[in-house]
Amino acid sequence: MVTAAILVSVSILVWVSVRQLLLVNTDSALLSVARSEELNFSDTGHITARAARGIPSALELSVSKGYRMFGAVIGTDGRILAESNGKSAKDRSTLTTALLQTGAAPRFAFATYSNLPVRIVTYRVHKGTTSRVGAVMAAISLRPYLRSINALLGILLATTVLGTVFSAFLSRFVAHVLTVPLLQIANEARHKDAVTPGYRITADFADSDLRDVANALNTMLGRRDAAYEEVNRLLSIQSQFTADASHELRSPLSNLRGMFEVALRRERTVGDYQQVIQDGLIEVKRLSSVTNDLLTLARSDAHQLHLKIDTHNLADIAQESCNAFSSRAEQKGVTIDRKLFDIFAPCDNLRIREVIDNLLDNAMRLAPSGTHLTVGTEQQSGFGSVYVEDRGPGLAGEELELVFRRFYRSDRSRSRDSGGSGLGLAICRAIAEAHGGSLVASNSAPTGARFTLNLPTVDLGRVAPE
Amino acid sequence: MKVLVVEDEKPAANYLKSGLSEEGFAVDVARTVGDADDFIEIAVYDVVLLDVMLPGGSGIELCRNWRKRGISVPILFLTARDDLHDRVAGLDAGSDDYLIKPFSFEELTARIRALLRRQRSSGASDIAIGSHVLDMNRRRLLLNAEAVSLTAREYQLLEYLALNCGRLVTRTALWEHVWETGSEPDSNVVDVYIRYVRNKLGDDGGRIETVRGRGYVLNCAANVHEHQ
Repeated sequence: MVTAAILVSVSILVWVSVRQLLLVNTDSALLSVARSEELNFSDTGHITARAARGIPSALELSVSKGYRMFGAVIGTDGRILAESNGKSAKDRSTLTTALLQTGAAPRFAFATYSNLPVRIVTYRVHKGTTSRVGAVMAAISLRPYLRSINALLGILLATTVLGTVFSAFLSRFVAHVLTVPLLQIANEARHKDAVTPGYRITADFADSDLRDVANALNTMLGRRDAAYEEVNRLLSIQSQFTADASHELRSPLSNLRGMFEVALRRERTVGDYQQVIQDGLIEVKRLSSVTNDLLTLARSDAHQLHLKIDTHNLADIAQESCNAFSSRAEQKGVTIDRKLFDIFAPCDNLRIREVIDNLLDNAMRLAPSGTHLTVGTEQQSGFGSVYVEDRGPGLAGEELELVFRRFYRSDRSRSRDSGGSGLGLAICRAIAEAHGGSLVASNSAPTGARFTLNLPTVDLGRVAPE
Repeated sequence: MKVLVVEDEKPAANYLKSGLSEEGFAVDVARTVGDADDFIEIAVYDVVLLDVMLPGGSGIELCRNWRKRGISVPILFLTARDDLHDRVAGLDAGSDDYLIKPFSFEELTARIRALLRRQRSSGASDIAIGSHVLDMNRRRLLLNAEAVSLTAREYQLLEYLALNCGRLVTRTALWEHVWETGSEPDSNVVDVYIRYVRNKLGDDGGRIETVRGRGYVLNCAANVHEHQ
């Protein structure tokens, strides 16, 4: 399109200037014809006889080949003094009027003379003593000029059309050469397999820019695959969590329903009914504890685990926890060693107590009778730690992280009698993280597991009591 | 009829055992995969109720394992997992049916009866014993459309004999199918219960014949009619 527009405007420009040039040439030829006729008239008093040669109806003054001329001289009184012959009365009067109105400078105009397109020139003359002379008019045929102009127009039109068509084809061809590889990339990107993870654009391009495009798309596909995998991993964790949660909620419900239905199938003693209510109560407690745990986790996931932060001595909290477990430890024949040093940290003491209780409860369950448990505090730069260490079997490598997974139960503690809902450690970690701290598991030498709760501390100088 | 309940949760195991015992089943309870394996080796069961999530392995694995070993006892899964994948996995592992927790106890007993019925070649639910009729759907003995009072154990004994009409049933077989595993074997107990059942059958009591030194044969009436 742009090429076509350029061609058209260039053609118009060429046509206009060539026409102007031709006209100027025609005019100067015409003027010299007029001047020679004027001289001829001054000398002889006649318009040259050449005018009538061979062509009866027109005035052919063959100055050069192809030019036809008409000439007339008119007096100041309007009378025609001399003229070429062979014209009609109507033509004469037109010419006469034009001659009478003319000025000293030559005036050029287009006109028709005997159905012939002509260029005429008129100018006033005062030839010394020849007071009779008023004006000179000369005309030449415009046919040669028009022929040239029309020929030029034809050539220009042809060039423009051909040029436009050619440039259109050329541009399409160039575009085609450029876009075919791009289309290939686009087709691969549109391919139905493009949604499957691992799909890559395989086309090989010689052009380095196109290779870049393909590589960029492949990089993008790679990132998409990674994101997709991550989403899938999260979804599968989520669906596992939902399945586990529904299992944990359904089991106590199922037990309640079963024991009540069986109890109602026949008349029973008061003692039997009391037993059923007692058993039912245990299930209700379990149901409410699972519900609370799930709620806590849901809140922590939504970052809505509200903490009542105050400065507390971690040693005090751990101390209380140890005291609460002392009788159970005695029953099991386990000794709790306390290595507690004052460490002050901003925290929600009830939540931290919950964490330590949970860790102690786990340790108590795994510690073989007759062994020691250690509960201690440690200060590290910026962090205060509370750890609970048992002399149980410890944790296998991958379990160090797995134990924090929701509903995870290691095989040896799988039985529901030996464990809670399987959410305890997940909740503990969530509480630790809500404090800006962490909860990690490690193995301790020679045997046993160690759980360490790390909490950020504040400057002791500012918060320590007197 | 003897049922093995494989269930790690004490409350569930307890109510299943007491409920099914009251229904007239002999019930053994296994708490782990290992226990279940032991029970299935030493005792003969008519149906197994299997929990899916068990300590020491999955019930589905256990079921597949048993089927591989040619143990063909009817298995009914009890599961708290209700997604299609788990149900399909359970059935594909070779189980016969499943129930999703929480379920109605009525439905459980109905499904156990259905599984037992499928096991019987005749598919009959009523068996005539002379002028008495044993209604196995409602687990009772009728005389002229009136129920004869039987204890759970007496019923089980009679039902096992009736299911083997005309065939010799050894004391050991009765012991295995009617009493819980682990109770002290005492052939006297079987004889005592046979006597009870004969008494309950009144005029038809003589249909239980003693085969000296070997066991018993129940001669049912010929008109075994089918239901449904």
